[in-house]
Amino acid sequence: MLHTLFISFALLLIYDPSSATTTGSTAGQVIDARTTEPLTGVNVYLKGTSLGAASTSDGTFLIPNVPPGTYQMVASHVGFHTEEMTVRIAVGDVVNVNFSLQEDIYHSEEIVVVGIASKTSRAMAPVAVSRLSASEYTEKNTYQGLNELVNGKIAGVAVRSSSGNPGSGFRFMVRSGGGLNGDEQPVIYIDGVRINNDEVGPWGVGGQRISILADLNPEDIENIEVLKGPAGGASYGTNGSNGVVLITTKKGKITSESAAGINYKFTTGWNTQAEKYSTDDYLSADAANAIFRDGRIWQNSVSVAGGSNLLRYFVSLESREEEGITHNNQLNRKNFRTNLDVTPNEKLTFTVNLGYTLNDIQRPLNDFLIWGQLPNVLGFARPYVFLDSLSIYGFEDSNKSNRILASLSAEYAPFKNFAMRIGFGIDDHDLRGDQTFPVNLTYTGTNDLGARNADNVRRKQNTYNWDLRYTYNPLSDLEITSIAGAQFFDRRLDDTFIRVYGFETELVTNIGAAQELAFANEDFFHRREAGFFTQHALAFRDQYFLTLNLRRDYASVIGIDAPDIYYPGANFAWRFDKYPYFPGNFDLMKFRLAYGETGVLPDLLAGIPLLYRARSSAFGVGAFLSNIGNSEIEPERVKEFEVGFDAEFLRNWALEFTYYRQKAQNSIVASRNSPSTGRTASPVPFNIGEVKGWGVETQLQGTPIRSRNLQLGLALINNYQDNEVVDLGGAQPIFDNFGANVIKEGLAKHEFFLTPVLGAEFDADGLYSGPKLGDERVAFGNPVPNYTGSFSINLRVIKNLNFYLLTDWATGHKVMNQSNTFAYQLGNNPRFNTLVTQLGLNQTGLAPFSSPVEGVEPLTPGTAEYQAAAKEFARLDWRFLSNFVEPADFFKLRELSLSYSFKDWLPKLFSRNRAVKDLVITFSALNLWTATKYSGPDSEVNVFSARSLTRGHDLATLQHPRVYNLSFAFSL
Amino acid sequence: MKRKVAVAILFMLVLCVACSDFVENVDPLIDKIEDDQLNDESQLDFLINGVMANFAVSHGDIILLADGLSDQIFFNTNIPGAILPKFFQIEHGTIQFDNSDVTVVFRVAGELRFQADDLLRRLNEIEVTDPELARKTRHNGYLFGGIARYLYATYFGLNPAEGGGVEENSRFIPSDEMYDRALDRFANALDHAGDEQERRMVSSLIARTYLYQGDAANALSFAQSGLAQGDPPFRALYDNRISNSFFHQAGRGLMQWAAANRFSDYILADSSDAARIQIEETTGRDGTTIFWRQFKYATEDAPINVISWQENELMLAELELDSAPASALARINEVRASHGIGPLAVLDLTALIQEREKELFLEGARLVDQRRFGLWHLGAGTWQYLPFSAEERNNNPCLTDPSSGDCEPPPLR
Repeated sequence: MLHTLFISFALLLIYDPSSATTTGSTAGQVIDARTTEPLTGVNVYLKGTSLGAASTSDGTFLIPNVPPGTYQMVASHVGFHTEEMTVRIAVGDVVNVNFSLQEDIYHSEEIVVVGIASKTSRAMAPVAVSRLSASEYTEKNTYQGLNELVNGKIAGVAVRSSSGNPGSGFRFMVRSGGGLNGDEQPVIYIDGVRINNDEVGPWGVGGQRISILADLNPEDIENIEVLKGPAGGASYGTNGSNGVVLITTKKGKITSESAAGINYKFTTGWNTQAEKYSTDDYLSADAANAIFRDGRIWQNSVSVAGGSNLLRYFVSLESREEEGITHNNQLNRKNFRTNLDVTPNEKLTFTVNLGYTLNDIQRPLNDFLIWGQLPNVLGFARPYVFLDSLSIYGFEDSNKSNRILASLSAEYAPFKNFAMRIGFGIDDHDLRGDQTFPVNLTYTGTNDLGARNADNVRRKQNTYNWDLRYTYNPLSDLEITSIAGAQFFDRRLDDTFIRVYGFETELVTNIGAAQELAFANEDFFHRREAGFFTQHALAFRDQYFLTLNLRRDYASVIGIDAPDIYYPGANFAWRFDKYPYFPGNFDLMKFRLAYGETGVLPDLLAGIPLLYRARSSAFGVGAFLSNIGNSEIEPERVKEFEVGFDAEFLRNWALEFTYYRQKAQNSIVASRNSPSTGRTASPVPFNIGEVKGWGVETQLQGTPIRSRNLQLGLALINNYQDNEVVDLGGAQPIFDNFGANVIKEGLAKHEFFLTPVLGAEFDADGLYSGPKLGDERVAFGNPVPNYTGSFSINLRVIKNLNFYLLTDWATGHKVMNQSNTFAYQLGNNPRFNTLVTQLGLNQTGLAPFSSPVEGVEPLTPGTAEYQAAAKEFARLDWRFLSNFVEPADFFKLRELSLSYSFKDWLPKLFSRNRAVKDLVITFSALNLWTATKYSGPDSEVNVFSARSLTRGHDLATLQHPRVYNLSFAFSL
Repeated sequence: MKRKVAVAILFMLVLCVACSDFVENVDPLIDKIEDDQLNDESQLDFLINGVMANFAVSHGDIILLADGLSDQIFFNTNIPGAILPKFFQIEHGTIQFDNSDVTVVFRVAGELRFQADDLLRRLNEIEVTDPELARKTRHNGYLFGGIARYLYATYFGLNPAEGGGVEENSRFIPSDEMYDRALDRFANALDHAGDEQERRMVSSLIARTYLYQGDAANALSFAQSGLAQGDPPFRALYDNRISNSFFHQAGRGLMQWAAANRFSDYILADSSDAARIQIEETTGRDGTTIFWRQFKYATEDAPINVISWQENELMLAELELDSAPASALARINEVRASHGIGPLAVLDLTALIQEREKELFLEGARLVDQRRFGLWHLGAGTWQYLPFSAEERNNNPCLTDPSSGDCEPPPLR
């Protein structure tokens, strides 16, 4: 019934009875030239008009109501070279036109974004821009979020989520990380709207927060483009120094009356513990493994897409319920999206994108919190010493968000080669954070009368943009496109929060029912940014491409004059394959060179030397220092130079190579004053830094085998990056909260910089007196990998059976296994306890919680055995974090899927009813297998989520789950 | 066509000119104010309250760790609420410079010193029409500036047995010199005291500073004009926002520290001592070991004495022990009587020290007494002070090289 309704709707939109006797039409089929298989969803249109259609599942198309005339007819499809034909249509004619498309392995004809208001085909793009066709992957797997979708699929970009919590915070690792300050994260746009990329989670649960991007439904995403640094992202200006991620959601396509597309996908699956704890490492391993469960996944998504020359529409609904691998750990997301494109005439197009999300994420207590689930089973040998298990699992955390992500834009082209565009977008995110400590359960340090935390946060960001584009030909071989435009951003945050405690009954626990108000407060900020840009792109003989751009940015940074800053950029591309003497095996050989500058703004309050807040105490309300700023602060400037080439060769292979160098100057580094100054309420920002980074990224992809029944696609990505803090302007090194990760001259950012344990010291009686320490700290490696990469296989056999596998790896990095420091000091490691017993150190400051191990005899001081045990013990001394930095290189079988399309069977099974055009059943899995020397369960986690200075610390942090999914995707 | 393009570009330029105005037109902060906005007479009470609140934070946090470092309370894995193994470093006097607890208390000591001094600086820069308000501001600026320096000199050290402080990235200021700086502040506070009771309170603080500095004559002189019986103690006040650290770390809120067992012996020997040694029995994690939990601070809003007339009497007794033993004994018995405890017949130094640890239980005196009377309970080389934090050591070159630039402490104003 629904299907019939939508077809009727589509017919209404495209049917124009008055034109039936004055027009003709054209119809035909589009096939894959190599396999002769019909191609679905090919855009077939008449150039210079708004007339067109998308091919149906059998490759056919129909464009009705075509006024008589001669047209260039175009067929374009992702992954295939575009073809054009000349057709002549007369009144009443139905002209048959068939297309046979050749594969475009490099996707050279895809239009990609190369600047804030400019797009061009990849064949002409002068910068390294990566484009991920998201729908290709969501057909093969079911992803919880953007992080899983992107990871391993874009050269120069890796994505790491900091824990196994559903909706966990995650970090993009783009190239060598840009400058020093900021959060090293790219700026993200969805359908032209700059969105909030914060981590949220107003109340702490030990370290983990939530990615605000967990609201997105991956099934709604059409493609993701990434400009990976200032060279490509200069026109995006401030905050684009770590790249620009441009997410485009799906749009409707022009369809004939029988081809309105309805897609329904049902997925069920489960999350399960990927790595077991071993009793070799933890006496409490059995108790630790017992906290895990198989978490259910249940997802339904439906979308309807179609349209006419006047209106194209895409509507989707999604519901995802997911349980994490421990209790109190789940995600419940509802998404609704409507995307409309209205083209009232050939000169004017309106686009409306509206997304609405309801999301509820619950996090467990873990990480750096003794009330946590894992801390209570990995700390002491006896579980739940810190807190009773009833209290741990009775605790509730809830983060309910509702979010409107909307944009409205209009493009008007009043005359040839000139277009103007105006847009408005809003990202309005409301979050209610609740935590409940139930009545009658005891939490260390509190009474047993229960407590409630409640927080309402509203983050609102408006984007306004405007640009003009004019293309002209001053010479016959020279085309220039000039663009000028402006962007405006308005960001607000309103936050109110309250904590109460003391309830008489668990039956009534509203805020007003509490006996005591612990505290209540509110927070607010308002910030604006604006940028004016101009860009001029020159194309000479479709062979030489030069682009020059300049941006001037403004921002409200309270306390000093709003900084305004210029960001220049220039890039050049050169098509060698256009030379007649160039080997014919190359369909494309493009050399490119790009330079650009962007920057990172100081924090809103960074320019104010001293800020006070009011604080209440028993003496009354008084002034407390809250922020220490620096009135001289300026934005950090990040420069990047990149050089590379893109090649498509031997018909089936494509290779991209890019070398880049980044240099950040005036880097803003927040350093805490000496305590003796008394001005330690916050770290102080200084423009003291200079950082350089460099790297190489390559991507090789090919389809060596491709026929009707067999296809093999391969992709290999290899990235190398490194960086060095060149200058801190004389400032002391900056450490994270653990005093382990450092920003220090001569080292890469975030290097582990610690005092080494060199061996054991003995007193005159031969007794172990402590570890022998190095005189000064030394570098122990870096938590950010030098090398990352992935390899994927797409194999299609017996025509419709698809196998997909993605492996990825990261090498040249270290992780600190702080779970071991925790277990050692609390006497939960068998080897540590044995050594303690042998050395007679039980219940001392070195082994405060270790009990003597039965059957282990103390060794005699002075003997070789004693000294060997002492040396080994020194290396396990939990007081020195250098003992716990481990190689964390890994190789993962990240994704696997097996799917079968029943599209050839359905006509045989349902010969009379073709309502179901395709059914694809897919079994897929994530995080299947890991090879690593790291001793913990997961080297990709981080104790303080994904934005802190603390990097690569695993401290009772929940591992990522292994995920299994079974999905049924229907096309109606 | 060109005209349309020109008009459009002109429009863009107009927008560009408006960029600067656009970004500056933002709503003000609601929860923070800039420093110079406080340069007004009407803000002085707000500033004084802030200094006092800072004092409450620093006093409670510092003396908890100081008592932990002393032999008065101890940390043990079997204590029912023991959860922070870093307290082991305090308990054993093997404290790392990056110990997070020490890092925090070293910060708050500096913040108190800065805010107190800054109160005086600000007062000199604004016109105050209310002389009483000006006096009160001066008194508090000097008083808490003196207390901050006293806390440095008494509880912190650059080396295990070398106490002292540091100001504004200066060289290390040894305890003796730091006490002098505290005395300078206290003397000014005395000059600006509001009434006689306030004068007596400051005199007691000065007397104690001299006593700890080893200047018995001056200590006696000021103690004689210090707090008298009936005077209320000078206390750090707490509530549920800035709360008593003992309650949350060594009390009914959370018990990570237990009172030394000798305190229960004192009560066994004389049950009336329970009036001032307020401890209660609890059971350890093993279900058998008895630990003694303080309830002198039974709630999170329990105040902590900074100085009391009883402590003033104890100081006088100590100072008169050799020269006027009868008077010293009488003073001790007055203190005991204030809790309903019977008199001592004789008094010697050992008895006096014991009286001090009973009377000043959990008030931060024991660590100093152990040092003063040679009663250190830990091994050689252990910390007798809370060490300067790594944060100071890493950021202040004058600590290691006093000749590197201007390393002298700032002059007192």
